[in-house]
Amino acid sequence: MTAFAVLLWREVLGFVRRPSRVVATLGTPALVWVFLASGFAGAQTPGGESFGVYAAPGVALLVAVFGGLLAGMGLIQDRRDGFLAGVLASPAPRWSIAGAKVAAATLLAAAQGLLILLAIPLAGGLLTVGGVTLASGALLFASAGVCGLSLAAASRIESPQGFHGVMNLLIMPMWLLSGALTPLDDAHPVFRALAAANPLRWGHEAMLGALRIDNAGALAWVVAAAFAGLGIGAAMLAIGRPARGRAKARR
Amino acid sequence: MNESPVRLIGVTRRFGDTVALERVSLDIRAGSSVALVGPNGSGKSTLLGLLAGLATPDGGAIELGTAAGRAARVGVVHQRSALDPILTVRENLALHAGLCGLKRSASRERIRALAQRVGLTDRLHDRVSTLSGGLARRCDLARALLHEPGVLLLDEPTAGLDAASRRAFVELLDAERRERSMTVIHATHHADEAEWADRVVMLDRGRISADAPPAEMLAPLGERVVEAPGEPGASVGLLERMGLEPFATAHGAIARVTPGVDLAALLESGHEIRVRRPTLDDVQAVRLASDAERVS
Repeated sequence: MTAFAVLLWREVLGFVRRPSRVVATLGTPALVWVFLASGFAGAQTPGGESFGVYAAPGVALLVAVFGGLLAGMGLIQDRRDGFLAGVLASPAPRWSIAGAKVAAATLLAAAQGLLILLAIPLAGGLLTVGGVTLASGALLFASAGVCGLSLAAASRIESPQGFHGVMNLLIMPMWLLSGALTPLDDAHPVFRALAAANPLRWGHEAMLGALRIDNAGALAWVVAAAFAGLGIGAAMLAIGRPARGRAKARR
Repeated sequence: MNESPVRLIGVTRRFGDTVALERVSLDIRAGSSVALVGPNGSGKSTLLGLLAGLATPDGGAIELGTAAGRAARVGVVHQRSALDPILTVRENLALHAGLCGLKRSASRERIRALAQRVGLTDRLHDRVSTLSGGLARRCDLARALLHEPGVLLLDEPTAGLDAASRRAFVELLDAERRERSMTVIHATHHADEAEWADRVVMLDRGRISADAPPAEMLAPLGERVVEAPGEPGASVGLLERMGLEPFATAHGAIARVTPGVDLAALLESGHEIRVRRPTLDDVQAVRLASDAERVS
């Protein structure tokens, strides 16, 4: 097995064997969804569907955000436990170490977010295979962006508290300004401007479009894909870069 | 033929304003074992980190090669275990075999053989979190040997182990070294572990303060030393009153047994003293005391 494959396998196995991580990633967003769906049951939505259906893509995005946070915390834990030093000192290329970390975090976050999307019929919505497939793509982009940024930040921040603080300050406002809870068309111009610059908003819009809950243009997909590229690139640079030109083997 | 697969040439490493290593130069012969000793913060772990490729020097150069002139494979046993506690012993070893690029069939065979060597065959399917400290360190050693490295680096691998586990680990390491003709560089706080090495390199505040075979390093202390355990100041006073020239240590004081010293009379004096073989800890204490005297 290649270094990439074994590290991916380790991340997935570690996730499965830690049920607390599944609960932490999926449990809170699921509860948020249930509360929102019941609390705003009478709220008006752009397409006239129930609020539970409207909120589902936003909650799937929240799952991706939590997945990203946990991936970053996992990296800090690996560094503290000594596991990361063992991996970095191995002959495995750094790009494969960074790539496996991002790929595993993205796949796990997107897979859990997909469970929320698949539960849309419970809120009275309709799903099509094409719609779910497209929405999964948008979710994958958003997960890659969030997980990549989270891993890049975690590779530079020593303490879990510091990491949590920084990510809460950065990612949670991004989620709130994504339109996950409410359409932003009538929001204050400042918030609309901030939302326009927020890549998660475009990922969310792409999901809404894919599921035919709201309209989404090509721009939403382009920005969502660019955000994924940005996250992956940041993680590859932060984790994948050798420590200032690794000791040379010469002769 | 390359006689020195590990070579450091004027290596300097800083952390902000702190100089962790300052112009350190070392040539290490192929197949030899070197013990790095020194107090906390002397630069042992920094030096091993540079050799492991976890960081790069701010100045100087590091060369790692094999006798045949190829880049050396390096195995590392870190101060903290590099195993994932949630995975089993076999899964951890398979993971690291994958990181080293071993094919699945070769990795299976290597894991089986190494588990047997380090005494973990019965525990291959147990999670690492269930292993004792000593067994976990053995598993770490097996992990570091999976790709048959030419150079093995160990950073205080026995820290936190009891005396029996420590001894077992060092014996295992020595057997592996002899069988595989590996170059071993081993940072340790334990004098008895350093004494089995071919050569001892003593680090102090980022510089090499001594570099010699253990016997040569111990020679100035003679065959025996007198030790007075206790608070160092009081112990130094006690040995001085006995007419000796003491040096403070972490656990009391020691003094050389020079010709003319009546050991029987000292032992019968009723004070809590003992006569024993000198160790590298004593050498270090004497050196630190001499340095302090020079400075003052």
